[in-house]
Amino acid sequence: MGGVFLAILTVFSIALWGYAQQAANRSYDRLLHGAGLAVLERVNIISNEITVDIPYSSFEILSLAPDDRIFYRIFTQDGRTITSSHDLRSASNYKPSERPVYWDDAYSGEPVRFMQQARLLTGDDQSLWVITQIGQTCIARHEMIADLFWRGFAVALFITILGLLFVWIGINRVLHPLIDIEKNLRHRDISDFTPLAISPPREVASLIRSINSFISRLQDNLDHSQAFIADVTHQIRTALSSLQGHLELAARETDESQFRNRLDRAALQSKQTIHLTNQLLAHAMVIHRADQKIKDAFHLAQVVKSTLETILREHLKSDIEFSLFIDPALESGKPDADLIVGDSISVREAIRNIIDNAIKHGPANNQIVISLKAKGRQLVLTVEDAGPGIPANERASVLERFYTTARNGEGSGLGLSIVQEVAKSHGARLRLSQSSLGGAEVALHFRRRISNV
Amino acid sequence: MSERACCMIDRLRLLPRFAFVRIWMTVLFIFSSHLALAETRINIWGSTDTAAFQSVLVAFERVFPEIETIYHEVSSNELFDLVYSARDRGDRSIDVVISSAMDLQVKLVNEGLALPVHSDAAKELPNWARWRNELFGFTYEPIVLFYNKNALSHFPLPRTHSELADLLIDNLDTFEGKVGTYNANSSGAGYLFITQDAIQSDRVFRVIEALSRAKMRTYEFTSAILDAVASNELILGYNVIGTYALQRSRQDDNLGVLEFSDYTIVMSRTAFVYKHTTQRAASERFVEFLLSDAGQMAIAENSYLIPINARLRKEKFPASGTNADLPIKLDIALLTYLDKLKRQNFLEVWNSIFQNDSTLGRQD
Repeated sequence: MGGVFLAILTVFSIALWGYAQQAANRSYDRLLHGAGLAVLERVNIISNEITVDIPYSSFEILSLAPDDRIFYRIFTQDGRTITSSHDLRSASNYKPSERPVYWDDAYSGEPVRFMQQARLLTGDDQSLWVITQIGQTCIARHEMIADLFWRGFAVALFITILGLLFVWIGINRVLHPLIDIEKNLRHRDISDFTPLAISPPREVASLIRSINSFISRLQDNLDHSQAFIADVTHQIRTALSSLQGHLELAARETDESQFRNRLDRAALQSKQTIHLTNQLLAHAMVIHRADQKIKDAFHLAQVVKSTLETILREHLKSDIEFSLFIDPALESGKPDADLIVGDSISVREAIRNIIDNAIKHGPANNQIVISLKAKGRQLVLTVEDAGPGIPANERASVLERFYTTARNGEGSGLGLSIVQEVAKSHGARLRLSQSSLGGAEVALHFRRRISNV
Repeated sequence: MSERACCMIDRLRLLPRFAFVRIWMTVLFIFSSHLALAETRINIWGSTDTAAFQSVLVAFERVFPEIETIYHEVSSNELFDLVYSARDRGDRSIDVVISSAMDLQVKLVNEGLALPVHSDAAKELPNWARWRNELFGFTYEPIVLFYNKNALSHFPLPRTHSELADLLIDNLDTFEGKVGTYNANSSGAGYLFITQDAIQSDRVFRVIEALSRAKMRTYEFTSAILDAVASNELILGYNVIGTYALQRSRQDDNLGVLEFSDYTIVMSRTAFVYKHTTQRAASERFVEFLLSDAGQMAIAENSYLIPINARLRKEKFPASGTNADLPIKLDIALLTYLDKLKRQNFLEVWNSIFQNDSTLGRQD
C-alpha cells in the first residue's frame, strides 16, 4: 500500500517536474525571443555596411530574469560577426529563419539557454540573413521550476492527505453498521430468526440483505428438519404400534390357525418396519454425504454393474427378467469414457432404490431393463419396468418423502426421495416417464467428467 | 576501592582550576592567532581617490587587525582591462574590485569574474544596488552640476536640464569654452553618465546641442574639472560626481553644487570579490564590511563619500533623496552601451561634436 503510494507519488513528481520545466522554458524563452526581435529591428545597412544599434529595451527585457548573465552575438549568414559580447558558436545545422530556435548548452561555467533567430535584410544589390544569437543563464528558470514544482507538490500532498482523511471517515461510517451486526449476532438467541433491524448505508445494504436472507433460509431449513423428524417419529411409531397390535392379538388368540395368521402379519409388519428403518438410514446417509460434498471421479458403468450383481444375488429365485444394456462406446471406448464426479456410494444407493422400486411395484414376472448410454456430454442411466407405472399426475408427488403409490403398505415412501437427493447433490437430472414396456421409466442424466467425446 | 574514590574527589577539586587555565589558553591563542594572521593581505583595486578611501581601509583594519589591505588606484577603464585580462596574464594580485563605472562592473560580473557573497547586510541594500549576490553598491552619489558662484552670479541658477540648455544658448558669449565634463572616450564613469542621460530623457539632446554650441571641453578626471571650475577656467562642470564636488565646495565658498530637479542620476560605487582571488574569506569580509553598519558609519564619518544607508546618507547630504533621484540600476541592461558597435557609434557622434580639446585635463 505504502509502496504503491510512493510509486504514484514518484510518477506524479516526474510528470510535474516535466510540466514545470516546460512552463519555465516557455516563459523565459519569450524573453529571449522578445529581446532578439528588438535587436533585429535595429539592424540596418548604412553606406553598404551592416550595422546594429542594440536598443536599451532589449537587455531590459532580459533583465526580467534579474540574476541571469547574458551572452550575445549578431552575425550574418556567412558567419561574419557584426557585433558580439562573446565569440559564441552558432546552432548546428542552422537554417536562417524568422522563427527562433532554442537549445541548452554549458557556457562560461553555467548552464545556458540559447536562442537564435534571423531577419532577412534586403539591400540594393542582394538580400542577406542577419542572425541574432542570445544566451541566458538559467537561474530564473530553475527558480521558477522549483517554485512551480513545490507548489504543485504541496497542493497534491494536501489533496492526498484530505483524500485519506475522507477515506478514513468514510470507512468508519461504513464499518459502523458492521460493528452493530457483529454485536447483534453475538448476543442473538439461538432460536431468534428475526431479521437484523439495521438501516445500513448504501455500501453495506446488500450485505445486510444477504444476512437476513440467510437467516430466513436457515429458519426454513430448520423448519423442514423439524417436519422431517416429526414425520419420521410418526412413521416409526405407527409401524411399531401396528407390530405391537398384531403381537397382542396373536397372544390372545386361541385358535391355532388364527394364531399363525396373526403371527405372519406381525412378521410382515416387522419386515416393513426394518425396511422403513433401513430406508430412513439410507436417506440420512445420502443427505449427510451430500453435505460433505464428496468429489471423487468414478466409473459409472462399474457401479451400475456391481449394484445389479448384488440385487441379482438377492433375487436368484424370482421370475423377474433383468437385462443390462451398456453403450458399446462406454464399454470398449476410452478407459475414462464413463467417468463422473461425485460420491459412488450415494449413486449406488440411488440405483439400488430405483431397481428396488421397480421390483417392489411390479408383478412377479416383471421385466426390468437397465441401460447406460452416452449422450453428448451426459451419461444417461435408465431403468424401465413392465409394472403398473406411475400415473402422470403423481410423478411430482412420488419424489416427496413418505409418499407412495403402493396401497398395500409395502412402500416406505422414501425410495425416489433418496434418488432425488442424490440427483440434486450430483447436479444430475431425474426424469420419470412411461416406459415402452408398460411400466415406469426412471432416467438419471449425469454430467460426464470429460467432454471430448 | 578507597583509593579510587580518593582520586575521584581529587579530580573534582581540580576541575575548576583546569577550566580556568583553559580560558587563559584560549585568550592567548586568539591573541597570537591575530598576530599570526596579520600576514593575510588583500589587494583592493579601485577607481576611487586613495585620499577618499584611505579612512575606510583604516576602519576596516581596526575591526579586522589580522587582515592587511593594499589599495591600488587606477582609472575605471584601466581597471576594467586589468581585471578582464588578469587570468590570461597570470596576475594573482587581485582580490577585491571597486569601481564607480557601474556598467563596466556589471560586464565583469557578467563575464563570471565574481564570487557570490552571502551577507545579511547585502539583503538590506535597495534592489537597484545589488546584482546576483556578487556585485554590491555601497555609496550613494548624485551626479551634479558644479559651478563657480562668482562667474554665475549674473544669471539665475538653472533648475532643470532644459533651463541649463536655455542658459547656455542664450548666453553663448559667456559660456563658450567655459563648460566642461568628462571625456567619454577615456573616462568610464563619464561614458556611463552621458549614456544614462541619453536613456533617462529625450531632453538631453537639447542639452547636448547646447553644450556643443558652448564648445564644451572634456577632461579625464573629476579633479581636473573641479580644479578648472575653481580656477575660473570653467564656469560649469556638467555631470560631476557629487561627492567630490561637495567636498570641494566645502573648502571653497565660491564653488556651488546643484542637483537638477527634473532628474538627477545617482551613481553607486560597487564592489565584488574577484573570482580567482587567493584570499576569498578575507575578501568577502571586506565587502561585507563595506555594507555593514560599521563600514557605512566609517564611510559617513571618515571619508567624503556618501554611504548608501538611507539614514546615514540623509544626515550627510540632506538635499539627496528627492523624487528626482534616478539611481542607475545594476542589471544587464547596462551592457547595452558597452556593445562594441554601439559604443563605437556613440563615441563617433560624441567626438564629432566635442572633438575640440579632447585631450585637455591630462594633468590628472
